Amino acid sequence: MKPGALVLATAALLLGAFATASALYQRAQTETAALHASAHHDSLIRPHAPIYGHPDAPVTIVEFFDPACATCQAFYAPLKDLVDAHPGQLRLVLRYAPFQIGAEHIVALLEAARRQGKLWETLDVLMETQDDWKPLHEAELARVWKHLAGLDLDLERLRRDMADAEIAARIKQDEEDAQRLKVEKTPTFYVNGQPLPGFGFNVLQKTVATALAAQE
Amino acid sequence: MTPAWWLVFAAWVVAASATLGALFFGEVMGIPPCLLCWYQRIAMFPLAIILPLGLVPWDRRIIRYALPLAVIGLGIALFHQGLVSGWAPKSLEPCARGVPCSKTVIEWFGFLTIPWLSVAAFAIIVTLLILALLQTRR
Repeated sequence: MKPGALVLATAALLLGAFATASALYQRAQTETAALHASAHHDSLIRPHAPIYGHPDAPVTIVEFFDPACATCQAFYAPLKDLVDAHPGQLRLVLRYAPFQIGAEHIVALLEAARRQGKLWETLDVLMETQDDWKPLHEAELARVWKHLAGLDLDLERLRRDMADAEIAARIKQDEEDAQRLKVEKTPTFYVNGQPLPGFGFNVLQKTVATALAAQE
Repeated sequence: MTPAWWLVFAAWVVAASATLGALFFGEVMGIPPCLLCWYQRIAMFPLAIILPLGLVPWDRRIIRYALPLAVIGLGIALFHQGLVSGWAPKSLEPCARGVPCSKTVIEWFGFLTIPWLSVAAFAIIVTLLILALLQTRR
């Protein structure tokens, strides 16, 4: 064998081993996630979790969501469009997983806004302005307030509610459920109780399409 | 293909395996690399790329170019292992924030940790390259 051919063949062998190991690992991860999801089925959806779309829709996306996570932000608008495109058929259940630094304050703010009936409006604004209130690696609550101006929120009440024990308990419940399900990254999606067989919006879309088709 | 060629080839196989292994830990298993891991990657990743360039066509000066990277990498890996084992004082630890270097994420067969794998890989590469150097000096 010539030196060049030997080097190329070795490189191909090593890369092939890497690709195979990655595929096997990913498959094992998906299987483990499915096992956790079925073992802790009640941890997936709680009555307090916000719902976007028709509450009785037959197909449910559960998203473990961090408002300060840039990937969650990137998924946000297309995900709402997806739900809007299937009225009465599809719903999104939001579970909080504030993994980023400072994100727990943003979640408290969202829940407080929810008490004034403005959860989704507030979330829309926060997603549009994420770059500003999360300038580096930390969510900064102090930079959020100015973006809420147009929402007609009672800010004094909002601040009071953010410290409310019931809201803190909900956030804690979501955190515990995420731990039980071994959710370690955001966004993590479940469609009708099953984890996605991979990551990406196209994977989510495909899984949702299959679930919708099964309803018909 | 001279003995020196084969020694450098073996060093490259180790460097390429270590590089892909580090990428597997980081990108596939999702273990974030700590600061010291990054410095070791800085020494290891280029070895995987430049060693084959010296193999085809054979250029014995590749040993001279590669050896400093491998020696520096070995030094950082030893320091890292020292931190994990408690030989080096924790006050020297440069990771104030983020992923702590002294935290053990993986332990196979009861002793094999990521810093140990790094020490082993760099030590093998340094040894092979020194042997190759001696071969070419003959």
